[in-house]
Amino acid sequence: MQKKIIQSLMMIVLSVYSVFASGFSILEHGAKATAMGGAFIAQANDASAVFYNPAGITDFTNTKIVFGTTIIQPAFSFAGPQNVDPLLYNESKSQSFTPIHIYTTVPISEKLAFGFGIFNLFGLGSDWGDDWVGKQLATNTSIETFFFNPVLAYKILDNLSVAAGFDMVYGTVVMEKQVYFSPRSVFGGSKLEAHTLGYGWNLGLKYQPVEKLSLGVTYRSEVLMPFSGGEATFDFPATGNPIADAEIAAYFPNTKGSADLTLPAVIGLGISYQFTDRLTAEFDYLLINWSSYDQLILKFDDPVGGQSESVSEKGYVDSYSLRFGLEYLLNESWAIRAGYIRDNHAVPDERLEPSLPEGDRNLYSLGVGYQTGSFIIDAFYTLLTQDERVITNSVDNFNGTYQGIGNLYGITFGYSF
Amino acid sequence: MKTIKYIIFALLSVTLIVTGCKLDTPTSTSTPFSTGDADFSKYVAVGNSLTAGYQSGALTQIFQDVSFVNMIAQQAKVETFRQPYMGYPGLGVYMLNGYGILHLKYLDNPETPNTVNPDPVIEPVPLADYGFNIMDPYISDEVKGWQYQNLGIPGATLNQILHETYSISNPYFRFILHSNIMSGTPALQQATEQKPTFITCWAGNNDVLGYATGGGAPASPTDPADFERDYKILIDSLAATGADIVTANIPDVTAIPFFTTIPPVVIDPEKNIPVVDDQGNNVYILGVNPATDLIILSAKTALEQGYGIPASLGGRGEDLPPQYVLDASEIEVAKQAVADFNAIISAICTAKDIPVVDVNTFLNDIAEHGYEYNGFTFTSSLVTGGLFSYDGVHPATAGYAIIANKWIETINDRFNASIPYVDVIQYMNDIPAPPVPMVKPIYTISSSVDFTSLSHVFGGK
Repeated sequence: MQKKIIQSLMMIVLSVYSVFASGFSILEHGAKATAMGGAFIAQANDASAVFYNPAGITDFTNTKIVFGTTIIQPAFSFAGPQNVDPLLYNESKSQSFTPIHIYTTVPISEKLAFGFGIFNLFGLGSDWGDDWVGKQLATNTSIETFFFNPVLAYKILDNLSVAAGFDMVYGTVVMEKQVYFSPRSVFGGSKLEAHTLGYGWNLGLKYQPVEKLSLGVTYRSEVLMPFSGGEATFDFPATGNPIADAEIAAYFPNTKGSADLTLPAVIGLGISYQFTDRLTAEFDYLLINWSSYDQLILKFDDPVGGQSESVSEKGYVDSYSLRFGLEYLLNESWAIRAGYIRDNHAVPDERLEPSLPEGDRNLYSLGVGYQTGSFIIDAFYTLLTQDERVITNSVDNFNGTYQGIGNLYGITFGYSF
Repeated sequence: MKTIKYIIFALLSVTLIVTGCKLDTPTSTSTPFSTGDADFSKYVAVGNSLTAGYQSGALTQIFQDVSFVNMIAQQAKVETFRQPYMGYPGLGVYMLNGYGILHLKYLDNPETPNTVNPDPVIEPVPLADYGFNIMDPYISDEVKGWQYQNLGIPGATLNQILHETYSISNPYFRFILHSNIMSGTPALQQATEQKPTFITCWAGNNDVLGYATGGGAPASPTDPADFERDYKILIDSLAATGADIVTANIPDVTAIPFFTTIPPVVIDPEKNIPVVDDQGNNVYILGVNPATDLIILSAKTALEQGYGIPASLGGRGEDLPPQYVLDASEIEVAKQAVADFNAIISAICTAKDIPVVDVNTFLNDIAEHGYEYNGFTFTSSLVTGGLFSYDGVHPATAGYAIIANKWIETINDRFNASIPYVDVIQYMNDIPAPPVPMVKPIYTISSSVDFTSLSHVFGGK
């Protein structure tokens, strides 16, 4: 038997945590581009152009295939909350994520080229353990998205190419936290696990007004991810009171949950200049339309705690990313690269919570590339440092100081036929 | 693809010379403990039921353990803080009927399966199930012999804290002060005679609560002039010990679930939703002004008996008796009394440079907006709100923990101390299980329980 129950009880069960935001965007989709801070929209001169700017693939005269991965090791800490102990230090469990990237590009004619990419544009997660001070906000959160992205690129003029592509996105989310059943004073685990397919599209343009100067523009559409039929499960300990256990089982049925999440649209602008035969520099600007994520509506098939829908305000703001990259060719085989990214936050202070402990970030990259014959190997190391973020106005009264750091290692192998 | 991923992973792990940078772990990962300028070597608490750790209509050890003053004592690492531990199911409002503490039997009464809103069943635990003797309620003989540092006496008014040693209607004086008709000293004297170094004092609530819980009767709130005289004596006496003192003001008594749980509308007993007339409007309880009046929790029984229910809906067609209703003028009297008392408390304590915990503002804010605590929103709702115990007047364990933190905040602030806050989450979860009932009751009592008797204990005299 399911009945309505007083609202305060349900607010906690239904409030859904943040899963998509800058903190969970993966920026690394090719070791060459990443070593240059991802500033690659204007250059787009290897097969990872399928992701960075598909208009670039019209320049290739032969079929290319590349694949690689990145090991991302983020670490987050939270000092607080103020209402417990401002200095209480909580550190998330160490985790490793290994997003992959695979690209192939095929010249169809002198003007037309086909490309295909598989990459994980959003991913990552946070794990604070099941019994920490913020357990009612988040314990374990993870998300994974696989983008399958075919593109066609066309060379309109010798120095102007355009491209269009289609995104099929497979996404999975796992969100876990503890919920409180106040009438019986007991905490239980809640887990939402869902996967879905979403669709989007992308455009690219590359223009070289003069030989050494290259400009690029890209757009990747928002992708609606209609998570439906996700598994919502609850795991409460036995209370020793059979009546209470029966109530808990009735009010927290294992059921299906649905929520529409929208991955934001991204606009990118890039400019690169070849200062010498050996030295190329690029600057990119990206605008990520997080402001489209202003609320999240979660629905349950069977009412949980007597309620079957909740609306969580998110109020995200648009974020932008500034990217600088340098490449220096040592000789015909070796290249060294460096890059810097300044990434701005999307979650406003009052909505920041430990499931997604994001903030403004600096990423410093170094990398090398080696080419022999048809083979290419690129590798990089990136250090991510997140600005200390002091929250004083949390809507959850979960105020304190978030910190984050990440070590990223990546490698990409390529072959030209 | 997975294999390739692992090969790449392995290659990278082996070949990379770079070891990753790590988060700077701070030098101190929690605030170092310090009582600062406060001397907790002998801590004594003076007050009423709130200080005693009274919950759900009774005083019993499992909840005395989580009295807010015991939490303060634990957080401040006080070595000895003795409380008059009572056995289970506790000494409380239903003792003469043979019952102890209230418990939530059902969140939703299974005997009324057609209710739309759950109708919780809150009932008291029979004393006989545990062989509880109201003439000897202590949990052990050892406890009987203690001098208590928690001198909170449920039901005690300000004047009674100063002078009362024995009350025929309130057994707590006898059991907490070790008094009998002929002898004994009042709580204030017992507090000062222990030569305390630290005192918490939260007094005066019952000088207005009894008026309010009685529906504006029988007694008026204590006269402000008397209150001022007595509060001055109280503070002067406590200050004369040289101890560090912290006090609190009196919360608005009308903001508790005892007054906010029963709506002024007629409820369909079968569905437990408001009855609506042909026009779809609510039907109001007779004798109640729905715009202004509050109905007390103890009216439940009378409403079930048909009082206040129109005859057309199967009721008696009579007004709900006034003792169940706090009308606009009575609310005004209660609020004025709280305002007067708080002004007196503030003036007297400020003159002595004694910090006053502003519980009134704090609880009013919670009643209005709820209290966000790290992912849970506490509210003043009965049963589900998490703040109040089942009697609708006294806090539940988590509510006491939140109140303890409010005191600790004031103590830290005033005495340059860093006493750690109580972990409220721990007290949301670690609710002590009641003892297992005895197999064979010593005696049985079959009198029915009447919610209306609540007001007697809450009201003191």
